[in-house]
Amino acid sequence: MKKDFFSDRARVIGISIVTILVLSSFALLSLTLIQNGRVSQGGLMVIITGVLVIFAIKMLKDQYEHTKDGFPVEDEMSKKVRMKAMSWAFLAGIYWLLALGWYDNLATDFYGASPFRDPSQATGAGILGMAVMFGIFWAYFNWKGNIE
Amino acid sequence: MRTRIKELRARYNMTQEDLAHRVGVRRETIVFLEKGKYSPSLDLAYKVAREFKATIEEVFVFQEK
Repeated sequence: MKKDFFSDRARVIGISIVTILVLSSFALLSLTLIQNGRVSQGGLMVIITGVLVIFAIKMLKDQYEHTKDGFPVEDEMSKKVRMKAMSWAFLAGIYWLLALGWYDNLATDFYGASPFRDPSQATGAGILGMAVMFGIFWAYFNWKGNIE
Repeated sequence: MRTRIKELRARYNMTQEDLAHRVGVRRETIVFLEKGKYSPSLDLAYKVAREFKATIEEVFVFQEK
């Protein structure tokens, strides 16, 4: 039991560090975009970062409280919820990438230039979209609960 | 899936937290189990039934969809 407590605590600390690093990167990217005059894209990033920060604070608070009260950070239901949210985010992510491709083609035809600066930015938009979808699906399945 | 967990908890004077601690899951999982919104694994169903000194069939009532 003691070993579980320490491994759970280490896990919460690890997740907190990774979350802070990822969110700091998003915040820096938002500021860079705004400084470069891309206010709408920067603003959108600020909103997305804000939503992710709220999710992260709630998730980390829950995990910390579970560890403190001696409950496992993760059990069979939370694992099932996470797996289902991941699979749905992956499936929806395929359509998201397809939509980004269409958006790129349409914008290039319409404005004569791609909306993405380079392929890495398009890839970043794809990954960010999947991450946001994972968060939404995770929250939905956690609320719904009826996981088979 | 309908369950008799709430009734059995009351009989054994056990809180949701107590049961969660005993079977090694989070309290939320017990809440969802009681509401019949989560179908547990055989392993968890067995552990819950064991806490109430009952069989799985006595705790979990299967309902055809």
